[in-house]
Amino acid sequence: MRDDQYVLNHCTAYLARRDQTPRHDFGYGHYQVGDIGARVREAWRFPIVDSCAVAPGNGSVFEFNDVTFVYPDFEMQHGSVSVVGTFDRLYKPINLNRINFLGEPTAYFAVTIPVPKRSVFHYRLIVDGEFVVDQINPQRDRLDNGEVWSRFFTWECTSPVVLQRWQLRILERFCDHILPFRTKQGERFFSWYYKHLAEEAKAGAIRGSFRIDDSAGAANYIDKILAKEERHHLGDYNICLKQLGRIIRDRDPDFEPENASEKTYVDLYNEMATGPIGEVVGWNLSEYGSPRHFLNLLRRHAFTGAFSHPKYGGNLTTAGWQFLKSRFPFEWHQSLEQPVGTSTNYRG
Amino acid sequence: MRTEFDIVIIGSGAGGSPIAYELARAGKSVLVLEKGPLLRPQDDPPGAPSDYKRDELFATGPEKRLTIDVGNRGSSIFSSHIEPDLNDEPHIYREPGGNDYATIEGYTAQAVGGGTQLYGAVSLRFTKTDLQLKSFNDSRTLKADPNGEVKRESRDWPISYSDLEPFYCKAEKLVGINGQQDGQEKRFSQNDTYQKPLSPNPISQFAATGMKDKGMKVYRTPLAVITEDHSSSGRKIPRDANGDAAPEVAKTGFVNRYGCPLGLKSNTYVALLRPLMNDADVGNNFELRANCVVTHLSQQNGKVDRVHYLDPSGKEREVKGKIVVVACSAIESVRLLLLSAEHDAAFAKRLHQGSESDSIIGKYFLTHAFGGAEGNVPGVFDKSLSLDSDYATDFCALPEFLDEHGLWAGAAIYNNTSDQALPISMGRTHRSQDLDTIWNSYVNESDITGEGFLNWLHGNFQRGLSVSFMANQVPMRSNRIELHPRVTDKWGRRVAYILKGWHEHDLHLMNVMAEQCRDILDKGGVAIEGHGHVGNDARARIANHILGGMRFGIDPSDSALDPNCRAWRFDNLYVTDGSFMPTSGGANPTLTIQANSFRIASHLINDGVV
Repeated sequence: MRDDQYVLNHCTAYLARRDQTPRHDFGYGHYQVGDIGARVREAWRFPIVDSCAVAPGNGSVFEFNDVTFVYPDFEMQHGSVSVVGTFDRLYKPINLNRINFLGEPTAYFAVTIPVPKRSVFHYRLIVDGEFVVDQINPQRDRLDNGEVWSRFFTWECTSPVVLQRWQLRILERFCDHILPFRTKQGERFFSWYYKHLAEEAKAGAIRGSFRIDDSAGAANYIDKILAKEERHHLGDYNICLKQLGRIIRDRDPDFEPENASEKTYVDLYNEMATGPIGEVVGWNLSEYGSPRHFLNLLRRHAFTGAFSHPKYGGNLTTAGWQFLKSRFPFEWHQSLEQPVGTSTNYRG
Repeated sequence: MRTEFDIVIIGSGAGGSPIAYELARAGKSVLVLEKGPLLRPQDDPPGAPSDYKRDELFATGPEKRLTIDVGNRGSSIFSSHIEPDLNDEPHIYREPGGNDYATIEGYTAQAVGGGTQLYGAVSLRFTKTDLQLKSFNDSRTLKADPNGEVKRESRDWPISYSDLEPFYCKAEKLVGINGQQDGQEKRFSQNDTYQKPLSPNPISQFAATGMKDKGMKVYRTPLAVITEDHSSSGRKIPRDANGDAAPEVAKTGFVNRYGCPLGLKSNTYVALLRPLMNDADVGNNFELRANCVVTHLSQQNGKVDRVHYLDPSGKEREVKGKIVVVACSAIESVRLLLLSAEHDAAFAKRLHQGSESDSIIGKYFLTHAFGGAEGNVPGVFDKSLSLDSDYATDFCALPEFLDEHGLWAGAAIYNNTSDQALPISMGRTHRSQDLDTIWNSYVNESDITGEGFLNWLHGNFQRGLSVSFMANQVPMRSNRIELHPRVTDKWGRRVAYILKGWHEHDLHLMNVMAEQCRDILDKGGVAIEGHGHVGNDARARIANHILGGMRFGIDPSDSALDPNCRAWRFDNLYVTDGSFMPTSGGANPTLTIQANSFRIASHLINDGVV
């Protein structure tokens, strides 16, 4: 379990404030007027998803995340807060406890629950008997029954969260072009690497390893960061992928956009990279003023996704790092926690 | 909840923690108030994972956009997980065109441990000359000082190197620093102050060779990373499968801009504050309240009688201390005192020692004259298994060198080993000058794709080597910290406003030092990619070594603090972060801030102040 100090350490800087203006609405239309998430810093941090301290039962801590649900009650007006979610039985609310500071109650209710990795969950809070969505966490979904529930996902998640399959496939094609994995050296490495992983998986040496895509999971990373940390850019992707899909279809009408020729993608990339705003034939500038701007965004995301810690959804099975290790002296695994790396000291 | 203490310290970094450590162990009741969180290494408490991760996205997080009404509104901002959010609490500076910009530069980490959580841990002493620059320059001829300002504005510190030296020894031992005395141009009164350095990364040999070829004496860079069990803090080196100490595991590349999950980097929490919390003899005499932001101080008849703060819920609270120490980094300390003056005219009169217009508070703000050279070595080396630096030289602080180039002050030069050792750090800092411009070059160089990406990797990854200099900046009254007239933080308090430029002599000095760094790499066989310094940065980079603004001295009309860092017209108010420095020293400042704080603690205890 996590102590009260842990909760305060992960809440105060983000939630406590006097000014209630939307300082954190970046102007991308990703917050509604009056949305509390726009007033607090990095609302995406909630619920807090972290390494697992103690796994339930005899489970491994590496298979779980500690998820800390927080409800701020700055007016000190609520008596009870609990959470129900798809991570547990829906009829069984779990109480959030009032967090103390120097023995006195604070504005925060919180509870930490170990939750399996690699999954998407929905939850609601029950505040003094009333079912509500989490007012801080901006991730929400309308479920099949029409109700809006709050959403979170745990580390190494590979289920699409905010992008559709066709969008992910177009992204993969662009990431293929941006990243070094579709070069001759890259293809030689990945051919060996995925064969090696498949053999290990068959032998039971690793669990659930599979080929994500040739961009080392960068597209999956982009889906996750658009759902969470850089949710303000989801609109950029939705608009630009729609335009790109249309343009690709116009240029290569015999195929679905994700299966269009490499030349089509390379030409498009080069047009997007031309001049200060890009010069893409067929691009609707009134809808999105700079394809170059979108390309720069995609370039940063693709790079980060290919080489960041696998918990963020890219670099899955550490393919990006393994590729670098195949070309350079780079013993990254010595510093990283098991099972991602081989450190016997650092636990992640 | 206890509300009265012998000593209340605001800030838990290099300036505050040594005083807490000494006073609490001397039987005094001590409270440390820290704005940031208490993020802890693993097994603190036992079994808990670390709050600090070996994760590149902790060092530079996701993109945010600046929303406050300044010149760079709408621009991308990236910060570490414990740097402040610029939309909540920005630093504003005036760029040469006259526009106000927000910046992450000039901030240290907001967490227990302060800047010592994220720093590269380079822990150099200043030289004897660094503390006596007025005397040193009285009869010298300087270049690039046509109006004599350098000599006129130079100041001697009110203490000498001999006064500070015993506290350098104490700091090196208690903080936990590895290094090598032999080769340094500083006197050491004790020969056992350092732990043994780890083996250097082989890439650093190119820098060492270049330094030696230029006739420079070379030594292993002192680093605040323990390499042996550290008895005073109770920290142990991890053991290998045979049960033998394995200090080399500290070399990970996750050093500069990362908190250490194993507690091997000697931040002030693991080195000084946690030992207090675990010391039965100290018991309840020491309290650390994290996530508490001090809003202002109030006074009665020259005695600070209350420290007003907001607790983790934002609830207003106050506490009393017989002694109050402000140590929340130079910019934020000046800001806190100016905000306190806004609350109380009598406080203002005492702080400014008269009228605000003539006040020295916030004036003579300093950073370092900083720069270097970078290039690519022949061959590739695994830089991810390294600490922040391996080799240093004091050659450019020798009087003969300074005379040859007509310089008022010298510099330490050292190689940077861990920069760009990890892939994302290479991408985000590619051709970047500072924290405000990261990612810009990589994303704009759109030919870095596919084979071009591979070529870029082969040209740069695990091949880059840089050498940096750290030198004194000329004190200028016009370089100053004020309260911004318009921009406020999330609590409605005016934010810090930084006005800063460079003197002509600074530019001359930085040109000379950058040439030296280039020559070192050139002689070491490194293909030079570039050399330069912050003086060429039009945005007058603030950097993270933030010093001055509340300088100490012997003359109340020329200083804000007395030689013991007490505010002149207050009985019990001390300021002990880097703001006390009249000159910024020719080396990274953290060790000197720590040593000076141990000195102040000795004064408070031994002179019966508390």
